[in-house]
Amino acid sequence: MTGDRHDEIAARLREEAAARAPERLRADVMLQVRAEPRPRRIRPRRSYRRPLGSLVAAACIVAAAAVSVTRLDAIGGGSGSGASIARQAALGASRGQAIEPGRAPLSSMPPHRDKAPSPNQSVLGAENGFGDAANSVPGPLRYAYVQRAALAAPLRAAFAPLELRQGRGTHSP
Amino acid sequence: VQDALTVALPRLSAPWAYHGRVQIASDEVLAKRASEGDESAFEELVVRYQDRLYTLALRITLSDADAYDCVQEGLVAAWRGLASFRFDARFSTWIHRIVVRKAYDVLERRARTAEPVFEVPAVSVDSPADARLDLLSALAQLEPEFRVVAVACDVVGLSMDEAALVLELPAGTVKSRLHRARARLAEALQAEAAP
Repeated sequence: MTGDRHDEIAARLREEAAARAPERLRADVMLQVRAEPRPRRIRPRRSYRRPLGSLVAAACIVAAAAVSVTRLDAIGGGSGSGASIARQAALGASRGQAIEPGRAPLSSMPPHRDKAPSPNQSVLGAENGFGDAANSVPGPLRYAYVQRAALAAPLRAAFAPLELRQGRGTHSP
Repeated sequence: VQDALTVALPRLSAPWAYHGRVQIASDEVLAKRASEGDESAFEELVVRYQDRLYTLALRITLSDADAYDCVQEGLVAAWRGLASFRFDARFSTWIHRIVVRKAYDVLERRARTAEPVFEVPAVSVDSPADARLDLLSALAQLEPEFRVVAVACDVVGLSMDEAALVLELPAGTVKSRLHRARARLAEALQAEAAP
């Protein structure tokens, strides 16, 4: 009931209280507007902070990338020598200085270079004087190499029947 | 910003109609052009808004002369301010708010100087003159804070949210004031109708 009454009041206000602007209003306004200087769009002041900030951030990223590339180069050089050392170690292993499978489990993998002698050290020929050089190889690379060497014999054994069936076996019947 | 509103119309041979459609530039497009110095675009905005703004100012200030001044000054201020208008609000809201502020200034000036008000009710179209005068006098007798809300929502036709933006009030306040304004108007009209 009250709502209906309110709606009626609103409708009456809409119909009856609206007024028309005097005719001369538009002309007067436009007269003043034309007398005014033309508005010049105020461009927002250019902020130098934001571009500077992004520039600094980009420079930091580039610098960090450069540093990491340099370090990678250094590590790569080291690992190159480490690879040759490891190759020699593998040779040693083939000569009978055997690598025991499962000697270096994943959990025992040293995450980084460490000073302490690791189980891999013997594999890499610590007793042959390569221990220090092998230690200079990053842990993950060293571990990968050791695992590859350690898995070589079991893999060969596992795949031998298959290769035989395909006629590519190295073993003679 | 929507560039233009396309309104479907029957095929006409009028110069403003082509292929059965007419392009009506939106307020924002006109305001943008006006902000770049296009006087004809601003004039189009004046034509669009002058009646609504005048009604708003008239029903708030209760004076023809003051309403005229409010709208005139408001529109000129809008022309000046268009250069810095950032279009993060609707042009409609912005222009109504300018005129409402001018009308508030008039009310404040009157309160300071105890200036008398000579209200001239605007001409009506349909309803019988007596009834219209009753309604207008009841509206004029409302306190300004209620009258302003009733005028913005019911007379000018702003939504409650837009009225809240124009009047710079919380939406809840607008709603409650509108309800009370209508109730008071209903009471006043009922009292006048009673013998």
